[in-house]
Order: sequence, then structure tokens, then C-alpha cells
Amino acid sequence: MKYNILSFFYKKKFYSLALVIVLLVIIFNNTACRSVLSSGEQPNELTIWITYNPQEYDVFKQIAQDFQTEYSKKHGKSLHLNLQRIPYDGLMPRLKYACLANATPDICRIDNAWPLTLAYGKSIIPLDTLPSFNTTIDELAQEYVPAAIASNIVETKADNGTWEKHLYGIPDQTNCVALFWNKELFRQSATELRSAGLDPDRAPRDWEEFVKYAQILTIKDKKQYGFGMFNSLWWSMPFFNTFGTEFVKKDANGKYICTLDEQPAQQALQFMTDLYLKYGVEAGAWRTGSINPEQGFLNGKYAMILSGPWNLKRFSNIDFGVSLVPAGPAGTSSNVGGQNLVVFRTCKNPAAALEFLRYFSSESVQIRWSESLGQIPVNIKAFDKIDLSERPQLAVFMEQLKTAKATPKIPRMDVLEEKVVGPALQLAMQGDKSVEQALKDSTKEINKDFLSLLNK
Amino acid sequence: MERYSLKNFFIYVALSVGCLIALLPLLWMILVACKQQGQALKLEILPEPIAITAPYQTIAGKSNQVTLQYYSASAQTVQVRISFNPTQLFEMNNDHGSFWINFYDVAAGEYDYEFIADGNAVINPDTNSSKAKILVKEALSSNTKLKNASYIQGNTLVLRFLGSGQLPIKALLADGQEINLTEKDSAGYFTAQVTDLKTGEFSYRFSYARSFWDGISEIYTYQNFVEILFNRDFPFLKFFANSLIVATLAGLLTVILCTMGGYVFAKKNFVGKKVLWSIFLGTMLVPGLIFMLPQFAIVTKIGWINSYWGMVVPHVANIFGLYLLRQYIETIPDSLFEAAKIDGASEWQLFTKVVVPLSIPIMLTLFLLVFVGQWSNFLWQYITNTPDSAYRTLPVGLSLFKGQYDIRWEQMMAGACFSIIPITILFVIAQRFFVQGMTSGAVKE
Repeated sequence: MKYNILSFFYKKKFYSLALVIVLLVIIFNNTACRSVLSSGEQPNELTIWITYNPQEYDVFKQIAQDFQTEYSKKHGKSLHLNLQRIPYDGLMPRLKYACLANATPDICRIDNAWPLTLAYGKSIIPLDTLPSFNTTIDELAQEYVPAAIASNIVETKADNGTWEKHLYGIPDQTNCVALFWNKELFRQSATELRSAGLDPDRAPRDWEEFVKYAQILTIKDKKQYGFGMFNSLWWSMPFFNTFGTEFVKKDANGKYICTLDEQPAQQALQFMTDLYLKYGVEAGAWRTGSINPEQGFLNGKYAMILSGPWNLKRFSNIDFGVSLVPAGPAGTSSNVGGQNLVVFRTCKNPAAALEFLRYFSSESVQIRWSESLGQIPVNIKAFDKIDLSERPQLAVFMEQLKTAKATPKIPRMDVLEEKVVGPALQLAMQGDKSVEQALKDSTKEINKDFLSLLNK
Repeated sequence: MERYSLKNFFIYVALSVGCLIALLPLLWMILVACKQQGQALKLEILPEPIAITAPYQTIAGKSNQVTLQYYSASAQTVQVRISFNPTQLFEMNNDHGSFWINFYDVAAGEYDYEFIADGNAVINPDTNSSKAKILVKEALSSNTKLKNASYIQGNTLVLRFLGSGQLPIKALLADGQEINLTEKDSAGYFTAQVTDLKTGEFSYRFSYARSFWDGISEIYTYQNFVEILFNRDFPFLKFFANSLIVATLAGLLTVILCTMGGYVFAKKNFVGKKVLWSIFLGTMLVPGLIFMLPQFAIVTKIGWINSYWGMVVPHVANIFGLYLLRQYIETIPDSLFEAAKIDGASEWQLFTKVVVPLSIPIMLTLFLLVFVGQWSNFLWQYITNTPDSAYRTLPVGLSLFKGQYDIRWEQMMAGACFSIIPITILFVIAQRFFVQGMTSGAVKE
């Protein structure tokens, strides 16, 4: 009686036997299924791993369908695009494991910071070396948003020591951040803003003005702050870029060196830390456990945040405006996010893969993509042909992209962000390390552990 | 005695508060799972008596706006065919489960339209026809159930808001003006007019009184659960079944292997036992992630990608489990084994009649630990399955709701609500054994 579960199985031997049989059936069924799957592969097929959300996936499916029809008309043979949705979380480790096992897809949609790492790992194909690549890299680059295509163009060192430029992917989606401002909170402080000589009906245009706005909009009794921000490297780029930070440059010997310890970067980080420590207008939204910028903005706690077009729909219940990132000494600028499509070395039909990449990023398809999903097209020719009268906020992002700067081309960017620059920014923001020291330490580590991979 | 009671009372209160705090994430999960799409991050649990709508943008100077709306919880795509000259087919936008579309600058006149949901024309049971008519420049009538059916005529904004009957209803204009909507038109809309609008973009919102239950229905919905269970692009039941099979298989095989191994290491002597045991224990010092790469290489080589075996077998070699069972079995008196041997028990009978019955609590404990570990394992199950694999498990499936920029918290949490059910049931059934197993050996009597 004491161990009734065991006695149940002893007494009910039938159930125990049934359980074992069910498990065995499942296991054998599993093996049988696999053999059926592997024997059903199509010879003329491209497998594409994509990380789209359901709405994007629906549109992508239709585009892929149209491409298949066009391809068979043009080439007189069929091509099947095997679209496979994959979680974005853990995608980079997933790809690394797949590379080790030679089990990569033909095409994959990856973050725009990753092509360099995969290119140096010799996992993806330089598209410009394909016989069907019938243009030059520079000519092709003219067709796309500059900051979006830039992440695909990678310089590698040839055996003779010279640098060679190659194209490793085509932009699939591009975005950047701009300044979101809560019109309602601006209206509530209209009198104070006006008496300080500021216009409550518009967002600040430069960082100096931004501080003045933020100081008035910070009402600590109401737990309301003028600004809330993330502090990872990617989210800090608008600050670095508006202060003219270069990140990486070639020295006199042709070697890549990090310039994060130079004056513009120091000024940018100093300004970021001042917003929190000196002016007290930033809510500390970057700290663990605090209300993050998006949630703070959504709940009327932060009057201004930096965010991207993916939040336009989420914020649709509040009265907000979108403006260019306030200008710094180098004018307005932003970061660049988004995704690229790359072709893996395991691809048996790279010509068809390149054709699909070019088709998807063509002007007409990008207009269709943008109008169906309200996203920024990657093809620059599509910019003027999209009706933005109903989407004025998207127009601001498209304007911002013209001055946005591409993500620095440093290998293992994901590791760099998580292990080096992220912690350094955190320490500086908390006031636990001086801005100068935090950036000097980061620069040293980047040169030693990351850029050395390029300079080999 | 009284002093102790008071002390106990405060201890119970403190423990209850602690429990409630520990349950907060669970509560958050359930609340988010029940929230309307896009509301997850809003810090709104109970509805405010006065609600404010999202801002509506309109363009003054543009006249004859037609808004059509179609309600459907199940349709994936909805189009509308409307007899503009010529007849045109338009995709409708989805917003919170209803589909809507706006047309501007429509010339005055009467138009036919029909909705097409997932490729099929929608028949109106009242008229037995898919066709309906709309008269432009008339107040938009009952075929639209939009809360806001305002429109612009020339430089006049005709505000129309479908309230529940409770007043006040106010329009909040972008320039700070507040206008009371008190009159009701024939279609049941509260209405007011703003004249002499300046040409250009113009935004306004409505504030309206609502009952508590109306407020609740505006914040919460059960649709996320429906969407999780019956979404054709998200085979939840398959993910769930796969997780159940993987976790159960891993738990059973681990317990069987560890019990056998634990028995051998506890009660048998063989050459190199101590060395082998030390090596086994030494592997516990190496982080599990280090083993992942060689394990993945082996699984790939064997051809176990996209299979239950690939997800289960590498985790069966569980040194912690072996250690747990060995320590437990060591406490079984040798005299029991000797007595069984005198009675003629074989080695197999010693194992099944002595070791297993006495080790049930610790075996169940190990089963639970392995089950929970494998039930929530993401990375291994992610890398050993291709994206089209039929063997993907629940954690891998649920992560599809998390994009780079956009997380669908509502659906993800609805899935998580289902995912805690097996673990909860297991714990409820086996908690007695679990506590017994975890505390075994703690007290020597």
C-alpha cells in the first residue's frame, strides 16, 4: 500500500506492457517516418530558413510562389523553394552547429551583423564569385539602401596579403531607430515647455535641445521621465554615430584598428551617462529589473525613447510622433538593423539561390513587401514609389536611414557585444568606471581578440 | 502558548506573502495569456471607468471616406470586392481579429460590395446573398460595427462613436479641444460635428465611460488559447505530444540506467570501481554545454537528427542521477540482500524485488528532475531538429513567437499555460515521493 504507484504497475501488468509497446511503436514509427522524409527530397530544391513572423511569412510564401512560376517560365524547369520557419532565438548557435555537421540550409535569413562572422568562417558563398553574378559589387550596391548592403560587403585578406572585397549576402529587411515622443505628455507640459522657449508640438532636433525637453518632461512625483533607453552597443549606436564615432579604421600599415577610445566615442558615452547621472532625465531603463523603454513609453512613463518601425503598431493606442534622432556634432544619424539573406556553401544550386535573392530584393517585390507589411524596402528605387501618405511615420524612418551608419564590421559581433562592449557600457553608465577607462579597455580587447582575426 | 500562537501567526502570514510573491510570475503569465493582442506590456489589470481610444488620423479636405469592417476570429485573409468603376478587389487589414479597410475620395453614389474570407464569398444569412450596398455621403449604417465611424465632408469632421449607451463620450482633438457627443444618429452612433477644419492631417481620440465588464472584455480575451490550439501554422498538439514523449522517454531510460548503475556501484565490487566512479564524478565538474558539440557530432554521424532518439539518448547518461541512486542504494542494509540470496533470489530478482521497491522515492525524484529538465530543454532540441522536423518540441515551437524585434507575448504565454499542465500534474501526484526522495539520508536514526 505504501508505494501505491509501484503496486499499480505490478498489479496492472497489462498497463505496463501497453506503455512499453506504445513507446516502442512511437520509436519505430519515428525511424520509419525519417526514411520516408529523406526519400521524398526534390532534386531541384532550395531550402530556406526564415525567421519571419506569421504575417511576413504569409507574404513571403506568396512571393516565393511567384518566383517559382517565373523561374520555371524562364528556365523551362521547375524549382521548389522549401520554406522553413525557424526561431530567431538561438539561431547563431544553431547555424554554427549546422555548419559543423554540413547540415546548413541553402539560404538563410540572418541578422545583418552576422555575415562577416560566417564569411570568415568560410560558411557562406561570396556571391560575386558566381558565374551568374553579372554586375560589379559597386554597381549592385547602388540598388540598395547603403547601410543595408554595406553589412554584406566584406573585405578578406587574400593569400598574397592584399584585401579583396566580396559580396556575401543581399539585404532582406532593413530598419533603424528614430525618436518616439509621446504627444500627450508633451501637451501636458506645454506651458512649461513654452516658457522655456520650446515648442510642445514637435520633438527636439539636437541633443542640447533634447536635454532641455527631457528636463521639463521629467516629473519624478509622477514617476515620469523624459527619456528611457537600452544601453547595449546596438542601441547606443545613435549616440556614437551622431557624435561621429568611426569604430574601426585602417592604420598606416593597412591593419584594422578600433577607435572607440578616441574623442568622439568618449563624448558620446559621456553624454549617455550624463543623461542618467548628471541630468537625471533618463529613467535607468537599461538596468536589470527596471521598466524597459518600450514598456515605459507604452504606459506613459517615458516621454521619449529611441525605437524602430516594428513598434509602430504596438504603440498605435497612444498618441505619439516619430522624429529624426536629435543631431549631435556629426548631425543626425542612427544604427542599422535588419536581416540579410545569405547562401551557404552546402548549396548545390547557388545560381538559383542568387536569382531568388535578387528577385526578392527587386524594386517591384520590395514595393509589394513594403505596402503589404508597412516595412521599409531594401531597394532604394522602391523608396520613391511607395505611397507614404497613410504612413507618415514610416517616412521618418526612411529619411533616417539615409544618414544611418552600418554596423561596424567586426567578426564575432555577438560575442563582442555581450562580453566586451556591453559590460563596459554598463559600468560606465553606473558610474563604476570612468568613460575613458571603459572605452580604453574595450578598445584593447577588441583589437586583441576580434580585429586580430581580420588582420591575420 | 499564546505567544507561540502569535509567533506562528506571523510566520504563516510571512510564508503566505512569500508564496504569493513567488506566484506573481505565474499570475503574470496567465494574465498576459488572456490579454488582447498588443496589450501584454500595458500595466492595466483592471479597467479604468473612463477609457481613451487610440488616436485616429484623418486628412481634412479629403471627403467621402468609406470604412468597411468584417469580423472573423478564424479567417486568415479577407478581401473586399467593391463596385468602384471598375470593380476592384482589395485586401483588408487585420486589426485585433477584425478586418477593416478605408477608402478615401469615393465619388457620391451607391456601390455594391462583398467580403471574401479565405477565398470564399461570405453569404449574409439575412439576405441570402454575398452582396451588400453602401451609399456614400449617407451616415454609415449598421454594416460597419466600428467604434469610430467618423468621416470628413469638406472641412467638416462628422464625429461618430458607437458607445455602449453610457455617457459621457468626448472627442479629444489634437489641438486640445474637447467636444461632447450627446446626440445619437439613426445608426446608433453618438455624434457631433467639427466645422472649419484646416486642410491637412488631423488626429483625434474619444474618451468614453464604460462598464466594468465592457472594460474587462476590452482588455482580456480567450482568443489566444484558441489561436494556440487551432492555428494551422502552429501544430501545438504535435509539439506538446513530442515534448511529452521526449521527456517521458528520457525520464524512464535515465531512471532505469541510473538505478542499475547505482546498484552496481553501491553493492558490487569489481576491479577499477573506485577509479571509474571518480572519473564519472569528475565529469560532473565539466559544464554540460561543453559536451554539446561532441554529442551533436555523434548524433549527426549516427543519423539521429530529426528523431526522438537524438533528443533522448544523449541525456540518458546522467551522472547526477547515478550519484543520487548510488547514495540511496548504499543505505539499504546488506543483510536484506543476504537474506534474499539465502531464499534463492537471482541477481535479477535482487534488483527487481529488493532494490527497485526500496528505491521508488528516489527513482521518482530522479524521473521528475529529468522530466522537468527535458520538458523545458530548448537548445538541444532546437539543434537536433531541422525547422521542418515533425519531432520539434514545445519549447522550440513556442520560441517561434519570439522574433528579433517583435515578441508575441500573448500567444507565447497562452502556450506556456498549457505547457505547465503536465509538470503540475506530475508534481501533485508525486510530491510525497519527491520530498521523501530529496530528504532521504538527511536524518540518521
